Amino acid sequence: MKKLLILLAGLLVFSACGGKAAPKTIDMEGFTAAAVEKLKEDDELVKLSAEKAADFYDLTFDGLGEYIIYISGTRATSDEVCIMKLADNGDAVTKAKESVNKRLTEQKADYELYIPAEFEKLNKAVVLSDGNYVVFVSGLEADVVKQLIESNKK
Amino acid sequence: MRANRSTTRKRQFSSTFLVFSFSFLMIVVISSGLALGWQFLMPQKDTAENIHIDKGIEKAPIRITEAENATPVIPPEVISLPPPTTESGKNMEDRAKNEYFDDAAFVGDSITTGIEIYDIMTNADVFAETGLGLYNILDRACIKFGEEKVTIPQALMRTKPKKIYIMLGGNSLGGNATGGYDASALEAYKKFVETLASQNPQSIIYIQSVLPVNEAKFKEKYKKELTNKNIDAFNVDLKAMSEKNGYHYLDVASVFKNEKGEMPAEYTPDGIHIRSEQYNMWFDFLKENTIK
Repeated sequence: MKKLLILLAGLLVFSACGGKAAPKTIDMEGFTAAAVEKLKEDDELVKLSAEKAADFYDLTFDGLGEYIIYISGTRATSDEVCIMKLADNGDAVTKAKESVNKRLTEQKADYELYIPAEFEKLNKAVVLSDGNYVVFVSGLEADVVKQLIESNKK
Repeated sequence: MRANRSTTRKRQFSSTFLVFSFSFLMIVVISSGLALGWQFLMPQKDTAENIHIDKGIEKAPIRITEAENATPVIPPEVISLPPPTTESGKNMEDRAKNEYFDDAAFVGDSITTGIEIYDIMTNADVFAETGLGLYNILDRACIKFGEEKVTIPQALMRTKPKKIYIMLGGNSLGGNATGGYDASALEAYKKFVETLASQNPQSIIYIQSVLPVNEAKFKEKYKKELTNKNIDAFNVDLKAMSEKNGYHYLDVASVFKNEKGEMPAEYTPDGIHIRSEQYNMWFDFLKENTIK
């Protein structure tokens, strides 16, 4: 009986410490909708078609899965929300970040002399990766973006 | 007894038959009289014979030769309605269709980029960029052709559109010391259009007026002034320059002015850029004002 109890306890300890939890997925629709909702007072954000998104973001690299991108329709602001799901968290994530940073550089060039306040916003834009996701948001504070990501994980 | 009873019954039957026959005749006579009297006294209703339809011309207007006040019942297939009209009163048939823009290119600044972003006219080319103005449009390589970026004149030479729509100036009309717009703006505009016209002799060139602003919103957002007075003055000179040089001036600004001559606040998030619904208003105007 004593041996049996020791065996059961050992199994419990093993299952608690040794099992690695599966990575959480981000509800991409939920995340972008929540971010756009926070930005809509200043501007109209438009969801880009796949073709247009590929053009605006130069999405020609391998390992790109789903993506959702909203940009300012009126161009009155530099507000933008982008999330990409990559095949892995290695090369594809690096390429996705390069693509996002290229877009950010272009936006800065457009707004620097045109609307300096929007240029400042772009300087504080959030670019981050979380597992095999890459997120880019202009117009929201980093803390807000991280909180929105967490609240849309499942 | 039997014979007597039979004779009595025959007499009773004969008298009853006479009473019924007389009554029936009276009913017939009275009814006929009433019917004739009714027809004589009451006015005639219109009939199909009162309406003369020229069947030789389908959907021709219906001519009524008698009974002017009558309301005839007309078969629906021959009713000819006037062509539907737009709010401006022009016939829908006069409006250009989307296909008109198949060989068109739209050139301009951030306002023009919205044509592409909002998918307003996907069959047309849009060569525009945020922040473009009259002083940098000839030199700034901002239009993507694959991996390459080219200037707007280069993009137009590659695509050779039959129609070029230009809307520029909003970013270059800062006031000067005398309260007017900077005179060099019109010169810069003229130089740009002359460049396009010489490089694209195949193209009809449409010059669209600078849109009005909502001055209060603009000042709040950008902490500087851009007045409709300046914009209107520029547009007057732009129109004169266009007419003098054979370009087609389009007063798009008129679509976006309220009774005070400024952009209504609800049309714009920041005083100068326009919302998606306003792009539809813009294109309604363009479709009604085309060169065939």
